[in-house]
Amino acid sequence: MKNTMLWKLTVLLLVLALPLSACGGSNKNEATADNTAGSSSSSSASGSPAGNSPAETVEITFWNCDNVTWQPLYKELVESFNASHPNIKVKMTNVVGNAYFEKLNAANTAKSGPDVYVLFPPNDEYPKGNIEPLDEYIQRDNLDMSQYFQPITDIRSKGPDGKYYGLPRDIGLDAVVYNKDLFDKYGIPYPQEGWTLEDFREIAKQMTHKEDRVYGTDIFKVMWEGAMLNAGLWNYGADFANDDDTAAKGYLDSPAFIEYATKVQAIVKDGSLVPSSIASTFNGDMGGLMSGKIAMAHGTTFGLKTLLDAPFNWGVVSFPAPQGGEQHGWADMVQFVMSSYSKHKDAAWEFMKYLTSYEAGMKVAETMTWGPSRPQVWIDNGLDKDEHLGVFFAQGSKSSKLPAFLRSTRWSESFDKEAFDAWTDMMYPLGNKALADPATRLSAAAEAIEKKLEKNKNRK
Amino acid sequence: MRGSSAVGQSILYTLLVLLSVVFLIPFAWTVSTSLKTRGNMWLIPPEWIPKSPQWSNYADAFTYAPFGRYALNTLMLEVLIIFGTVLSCTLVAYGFARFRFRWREPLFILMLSTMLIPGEITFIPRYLMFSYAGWIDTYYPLVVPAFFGNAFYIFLLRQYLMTIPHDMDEAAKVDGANSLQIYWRIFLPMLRPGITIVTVFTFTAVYNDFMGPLLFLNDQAKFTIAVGLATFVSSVGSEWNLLMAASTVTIVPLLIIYYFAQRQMIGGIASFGIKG
Amino acid sequence: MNKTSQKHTTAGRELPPFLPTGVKRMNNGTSGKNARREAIQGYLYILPWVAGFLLFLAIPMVASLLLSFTNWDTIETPEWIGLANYKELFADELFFKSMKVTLYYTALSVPLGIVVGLSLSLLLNAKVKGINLFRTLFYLPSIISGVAVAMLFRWILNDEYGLLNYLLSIVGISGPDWFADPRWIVPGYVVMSLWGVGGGAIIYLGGLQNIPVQLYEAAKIDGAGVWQRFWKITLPLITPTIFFLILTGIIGAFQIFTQAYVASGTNGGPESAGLFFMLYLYEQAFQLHHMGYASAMAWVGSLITMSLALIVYQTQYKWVYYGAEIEKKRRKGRRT
Repeated sequence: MKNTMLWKLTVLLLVLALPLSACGGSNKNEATADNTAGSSSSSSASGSPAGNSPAETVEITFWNCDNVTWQPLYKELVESFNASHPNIKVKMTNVVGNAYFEKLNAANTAKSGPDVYVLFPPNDEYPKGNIEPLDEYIQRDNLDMSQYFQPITDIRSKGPDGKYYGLPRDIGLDAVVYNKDLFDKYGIPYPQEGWTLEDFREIAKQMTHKEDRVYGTDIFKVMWEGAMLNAGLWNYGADFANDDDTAAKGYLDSPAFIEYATKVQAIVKDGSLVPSSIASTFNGDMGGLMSGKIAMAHGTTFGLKTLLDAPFNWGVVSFPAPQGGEQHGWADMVQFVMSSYSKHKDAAWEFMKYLTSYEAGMKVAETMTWGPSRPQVWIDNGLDKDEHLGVFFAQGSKSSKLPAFLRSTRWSESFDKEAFDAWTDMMYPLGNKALADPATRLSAAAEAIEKKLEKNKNRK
Repeated sequence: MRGSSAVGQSILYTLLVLLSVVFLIPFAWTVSTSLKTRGNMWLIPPEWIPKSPQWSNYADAFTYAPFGRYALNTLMLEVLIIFGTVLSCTLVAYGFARFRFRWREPLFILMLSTMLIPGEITFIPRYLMFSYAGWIDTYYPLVVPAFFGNAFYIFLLRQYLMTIPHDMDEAAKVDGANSLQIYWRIFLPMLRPGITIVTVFTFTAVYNDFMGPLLFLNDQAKFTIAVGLATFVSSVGSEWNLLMAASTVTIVPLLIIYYFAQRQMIGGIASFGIKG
Repeated sequence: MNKTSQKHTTAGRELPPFLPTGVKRMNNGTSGKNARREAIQGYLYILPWVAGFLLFLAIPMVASLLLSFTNWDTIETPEWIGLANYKELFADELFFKSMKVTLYYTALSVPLGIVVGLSLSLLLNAKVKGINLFRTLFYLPSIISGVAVAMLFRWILNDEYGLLNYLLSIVGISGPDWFADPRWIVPGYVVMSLWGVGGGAIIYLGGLQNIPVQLYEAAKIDGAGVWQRFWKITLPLITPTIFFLILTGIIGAFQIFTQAYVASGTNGGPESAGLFFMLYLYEQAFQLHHMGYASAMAWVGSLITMSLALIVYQTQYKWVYYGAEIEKKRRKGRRT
């Protein structure tokens, strides 16, 4: 009868399934055995780094949060490390999306979790206790930090206490990317290095052709691309906040910021900024540029694969700066960090050193999945002279700062919404509202931020 | 209700076809995107039929993540979880529907209210509990709770059970059957539509659940199909075209299960008395 | 298989004759000892759920309640601050805004979902060739990933290029700028939710299946038309299913997250008109690391929704029809 058939089938499947679920259990037992064996040797080492790799084989765990097409490169690096370090075995897990941070939080609360992992936190997260400071290891092994992109590495890898907390995995460089085919179509010359915001405005106006639904730019529609991820703001001497995000007054409402906002508003008033009804259809990395309807957009080396697939010719140019002014570069950097709860810190350190070594960098350069963190790797591959990558590369040696949203978690709490709304009101207001006047709007935003800062002072 | 006349039938058909087109638009978009390159995915206006379809995306998507291994893991989880869910939910629903006891209503309401708790809030305490029990990186946190009932399905089955008149079980009681036999021989067969629904929904939920496995498992070899799909999306660049390709293929088992399940819903059973 | 007497297969069901009459009102026809046995059995059957609740839910729930009285950023140890989080919550404009937005969404999406879902399932109940294929097709949108649907809907609800406004314009209506206009954001999400209504149709189909065909046959013989058959037979007998879907609909609408997160991040859209409760909670808990505050918010938000659900729950005795004999028992004031 049907019921008994189903019953028998289920029992059969259950019996088959049991060994598989037991596998999970036995792996766990192996891991704990390793931990107890390893802890006796590293308990002396955890205080001060005494020797190099421990004597018996040690297993360390490594988590990354990147998407699946980056995993082959990671796997290659892990495998070559395992091969050259017979005493250490690295086990990698790819944890994507929001789950990565939820899982890390939970693991840290349980004082377990990966030995090495990928992170890009606001700087004041570093000294809170979950992440191991690296200065002693760096000094012990004489690791030359100047071999990484500077000044970015010192800016991003050090905490507010001046200690190093991470080793740089990569460098992600930002610049303006433009659609050469669109420029050719309308007969406008390409943007040149050393251009100013006024030049940008002129070019954007000439490139806007509403009847073709083509617009000069989409960079300034949101605060992020318009001012935050944009070295142009720094070039014009402005900033959102002070060094540790404890003050907005004197920064967000400074004459320099107001001047920058006014110049950007002029571009918007010309009609060169894509309207929201079209912009809301953009999707994916550099959606505006990739739609083929935007002449100049914000580009990063993280979007390199997409750019290389573009069905049009493209060029790269630095962010605009005032005539003869100091040029800044905007760079992003992801860190490898070591958990302070790790039971195999020396092994973890060896792995981190390898991942950021010249040898590993040369492997990365084969696919440019991310930008290698050592300038020498770029130079030895001729990338500093490459038509596109060379411009990005040049950004890496310019002077730079820590962007305001990464100085502290105070940014998310007290600054983000106010700054975002102020920018929207000035450049991209809803409906047919008039563009807000920068001086008054920025002043109001700074006030509101100061109030929030005061209110949240005692919050953890 | 039957469409008796030819006119009635053709009206019905037209309506069904029109609605199908509307409902199929997301799927058409999924397939269309799966055949594009990174460069032309977001062109405006969008190309519904890409000029050079990248059929290789399908092969590529399946080389990046070991979907074969993931499929086996998923199958194993499904069998265990569906079994546990159906077993526990039918028993508990039976208790709520057919027995009278003092705390019945308050407990039922308590059960309903547990559906309100956002999983995120209880996640860290649960993770700590499982970590203490040594269950992290095993399948236990995913499978064991299934044997303890699920408020949504218990509620559903209880509603179905309450519509079944009492004369069947009263008669059986007179014949000397105890409550367990009544459950096994009378209610389970009559609950077939309900159990089918629970099976389909549980299958879909487990199939699509990527947070659970991702949060409680560390070893990638234990991941499931849903996790495999999730790895195509990340904060820095997502491979939409590959993801759509993989999604199109992985949807197929869900459709098959659903197709066979809904065939059980034949619109009105003949009678309660005569059943095979 | 048990054979039962044929006389109990007609539409109007009677209470079986063997139940003793003249019994204590409290136990509705069963004597003290039997009532006790019944109660014990009842508790035993629901034991799996009770045990599961105690093991897997009770502790985390208590933990989150305790956390709501602390300041905790998940790194340093929690610091007890008493009712401070709750005080702050009641002064938090954004919290009230998020509750308003979520309740507005619930008020729109639940009734619409029920009406559309029921109509759809009646259509899918038709005895037409290939109906199985159609049912499967309508189920398809609800299993496509929520992320993909959200991204697709940014297209469909676009005011210039979008499909919806195009269709509306054919009928002469000028569609609004859905996601950019604070008045139309929530309706936009409601439209998105209706797409997946095919998934719930199967629950209606299950309910429809429980209605014995003889009822329709008897009614037809008595001369009832299609509309009368629907109104007097189908609708009352499917009220248990509708009740289920209203309650679970309210609970589900309260928890909307993925689509909103994809469409607008935790920003909440213009004037926070799209700031759903779960979005705000997520931002507080996982982006700002205010776990204590987020726990307080979760409890207050859940209590508000639970009160709403309780009100609906209590109404079940007025309109949900569980079958003739239960109606009779209720009218006599007996326990059911």
